[in-house]
Amino acid sequence: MINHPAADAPGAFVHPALFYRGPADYLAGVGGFVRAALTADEPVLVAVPGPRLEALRESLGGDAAKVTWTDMTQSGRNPGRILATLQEFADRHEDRPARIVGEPIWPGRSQAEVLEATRHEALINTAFAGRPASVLCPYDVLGVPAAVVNDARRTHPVVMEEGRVRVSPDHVDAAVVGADCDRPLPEPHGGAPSFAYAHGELGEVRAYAEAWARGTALSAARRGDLVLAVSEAAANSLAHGGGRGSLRLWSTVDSGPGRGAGVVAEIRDAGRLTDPLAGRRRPALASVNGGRGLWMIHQLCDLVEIRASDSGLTLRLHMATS
Amino acid sequence: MPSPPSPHRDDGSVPPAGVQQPYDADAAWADAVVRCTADGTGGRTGTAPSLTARPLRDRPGARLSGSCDLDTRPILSAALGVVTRIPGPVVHLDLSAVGFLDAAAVAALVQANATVAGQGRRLLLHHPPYSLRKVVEMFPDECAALEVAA
Repeated sequence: MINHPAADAPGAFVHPALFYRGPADYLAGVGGFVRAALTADEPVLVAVPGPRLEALRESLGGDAAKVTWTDMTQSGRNPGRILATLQEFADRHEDRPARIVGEPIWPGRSQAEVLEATRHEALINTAFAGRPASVLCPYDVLGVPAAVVNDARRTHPVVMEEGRVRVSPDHVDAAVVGADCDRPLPEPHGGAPSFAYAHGELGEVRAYAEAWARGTALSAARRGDLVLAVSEAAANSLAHGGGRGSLRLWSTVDSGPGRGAGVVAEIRDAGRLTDPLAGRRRPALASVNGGRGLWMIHQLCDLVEIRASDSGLTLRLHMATS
Repeated sequence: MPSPPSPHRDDGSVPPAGVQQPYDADAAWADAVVRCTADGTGGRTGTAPSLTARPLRDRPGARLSGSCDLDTRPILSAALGVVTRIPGPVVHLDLSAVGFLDAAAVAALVQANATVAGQGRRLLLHHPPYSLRKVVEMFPDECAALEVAA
């Protein structure tokens, strides 16, 4: 029986990683966390990959109806939108501490997705600091690469393993993890032309993206989503990124599980990411800072890679076509 | 042979079947719905980003043409300021010639809708583009009051 840290530290934010080995371990660890929360009449959100979700739901029997469920492979396909989902759930139940299970990394995630999911894990600590809530993050240690488990020890203050709860000696500040995640992005094979834009040219940016997207396998709706995302990113360049920017578009081919065919839109400008949480919380429609556009981009895309450097900001927006 | 009806004034003649009675577009507000364009700077093709607003002929309201984004924000703001002052129980806003609206433009429509609704009237949107529908989908609560014609 795992002693759950959530019960030991009422009033403080708790963010343990749960290293599980196989389905039984999973149901015991995650199931125990959920049951303890339900017993305490606390609101529970379970955001885990579909197959795990089904097994968990079944094991909870009648209690399953008291839990809010979401398939992480859908709602959290883009790791950059998970934090907004978790915070929205906690906000909806502000009178009680939220108990959340979030499993953002599973076998088959691409390297780029894992990097952004690791960034997300670190930012959970920043976003929930001082808040009476728990976010338990299960890690399939038999299925994910060892590097993922090592990073989980850095992004979680507490680790639950083999029935024991320990403070993670490897835990580091979110800013350190974020800087480590800012690895150089690989250049597209064969290159891609760059389309520069400035004030008064947003219409041309959209026309360029729309014309290019017509030659890809994107559906009409996804083309519309891409144009909307690119337009919001380019508008951010004008408003917050030095008043100009450049756009590159290219296609990627299917190269294995988690790396299917798709399209990439890259926006570069002289912007700074002063708030690492920008775009990771649902904004008001009428808000005027850059967070609204970024949040929309995260909702619209299957993966968003963000690289902030001294020379500026790079966003790579990915959409799958297969 | 009767003269064709003036596009701007109901001359009292009965229009042919299928043609709507021209709406009195000579009201004071119509003069305010003027062609608006940016100052002519910017844009690699030499054409300034533009958004125009024209009064509807057959009912109270306006037709927007162009794009609603950061580049045309002041034009949209001015146009909606006029549109919300058009009299009548229902004010129509035809978006069929608007290729794109961004989130801020939808926020401006929500604001205009609240202004008109606050007067006990309705703002009815026609033929919104995909981008508006997508923004509404992403901000359902705040856009719930927007009314789109079937």
